[in-house]
Amino acid sequence: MSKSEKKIVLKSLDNEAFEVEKAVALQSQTIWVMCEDKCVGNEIPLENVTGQILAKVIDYCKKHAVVDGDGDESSEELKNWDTEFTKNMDQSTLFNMILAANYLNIKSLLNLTCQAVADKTKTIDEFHTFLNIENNFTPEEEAQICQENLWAFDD
Amino acid sequence: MALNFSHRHFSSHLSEENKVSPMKIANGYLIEGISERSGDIFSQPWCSSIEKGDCFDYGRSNGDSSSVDILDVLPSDPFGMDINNTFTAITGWLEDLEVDYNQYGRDEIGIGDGNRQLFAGLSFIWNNAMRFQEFPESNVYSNGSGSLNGFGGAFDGDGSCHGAFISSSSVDEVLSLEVARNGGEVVGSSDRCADGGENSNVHPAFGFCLYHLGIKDLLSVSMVCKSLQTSVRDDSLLWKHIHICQPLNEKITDEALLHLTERAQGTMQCLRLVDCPRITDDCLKRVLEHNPQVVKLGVPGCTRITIDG
Repeated sequence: MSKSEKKIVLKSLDNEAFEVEKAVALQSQTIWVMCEDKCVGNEIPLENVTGQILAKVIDYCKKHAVVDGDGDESSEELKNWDTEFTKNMDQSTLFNMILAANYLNIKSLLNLTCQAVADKTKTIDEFHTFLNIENNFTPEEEAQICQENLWAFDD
Repeated sequence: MALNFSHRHFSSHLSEENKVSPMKIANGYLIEGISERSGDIFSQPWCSSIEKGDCFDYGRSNGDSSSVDILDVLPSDPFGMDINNTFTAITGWLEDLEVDYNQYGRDEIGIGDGNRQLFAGLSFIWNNAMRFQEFPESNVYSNGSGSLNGFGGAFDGDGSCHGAFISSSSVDEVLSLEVARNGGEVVGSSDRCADGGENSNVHPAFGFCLYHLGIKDLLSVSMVCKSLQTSVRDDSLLWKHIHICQPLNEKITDEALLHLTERAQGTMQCLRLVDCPRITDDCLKRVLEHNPQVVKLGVPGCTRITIDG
């Protein structure tokens, strides 16, 4: 990654503009490709990321750019930062972060956010609440699938 | 899973129009010549980016056969980058061509001077060439969209739309990857599948999370609702790496292991059983027979597996 001081403006779905250093933005493979192809100017419109989410993504990228750059901060601290970062996000923010990370192709952020979701939900009931969906099995189907998975849940 | 978006192609249009490809020249020429139609030129890529699964499936199906041809005419070589970028580039190229084609159609109506006709002719040739390549892809695309519908419909549980924003086509594309293998089945199993992916009840992003769940959580997810059950059960990618350890190790039986490994549909690559006292030689043998691709196998502490087995 070049250390050029060049700035890039990222524009969100709702027309919020964020000026970031190139090194920060280039953590996104999507933006990297755009820049590599020289098909965009200094302003990149990201039309399926809202300003609120993009701000968080940029926070993440800034933090990680600094760490990758000078190596002063330990990976331990970075991990803690990541945990804090996702800890207080609600379900819809997390999901939107996942979508944004996927769209922008930032693998580490995608992993982080997916893992956060995975860690939040463990039991079947938690999944029901978290995903806001109902059980739509017929009693027979439910009995069958319970039978199939009995070995794993039989305590 | 790089997702590409129209503005990129749109811009690439403008900046690359001077490159050698006659198609581009024709296009550039038309942009200059018929400025009042430029709105149409721009509208096309925007639309195509919204078509679900479009970008992705095009890219994927290009994998082997037709990518060779495409490579020849790509404005820049995308194959130096990783494969995701390749998809992006190819898709961008196809969209460019689509634009040309539309432009050509309009040009035919309002015939101008001889030069324009010449360019239109060139563009026609290009489009023909492109069409040949496109046919096999569009087949795949329709399969892909079938699976996409399957996914969306499958998640269409109780009808209430699950907030947030589901507008992003990117997710649909990626999700179509996840269900690509089981799409047909899902479509067959539910009438609602025809509704498409827009009103999914489960947030599309959850599809990504499945890959971060352990075996037990996956089984939990599969018990949440029908659609999740189907997507977990039929997505062989999820079962490619099976790692059984605490707290399932003592519980897993031969039967259960066979059941789990069946889901990989023969694609399982990694099987690790830590301290599973109930698994026998015979079972392991059968698992490996069904999954010839296993490259990593670890069975530490499995007391009933002998060296012979």
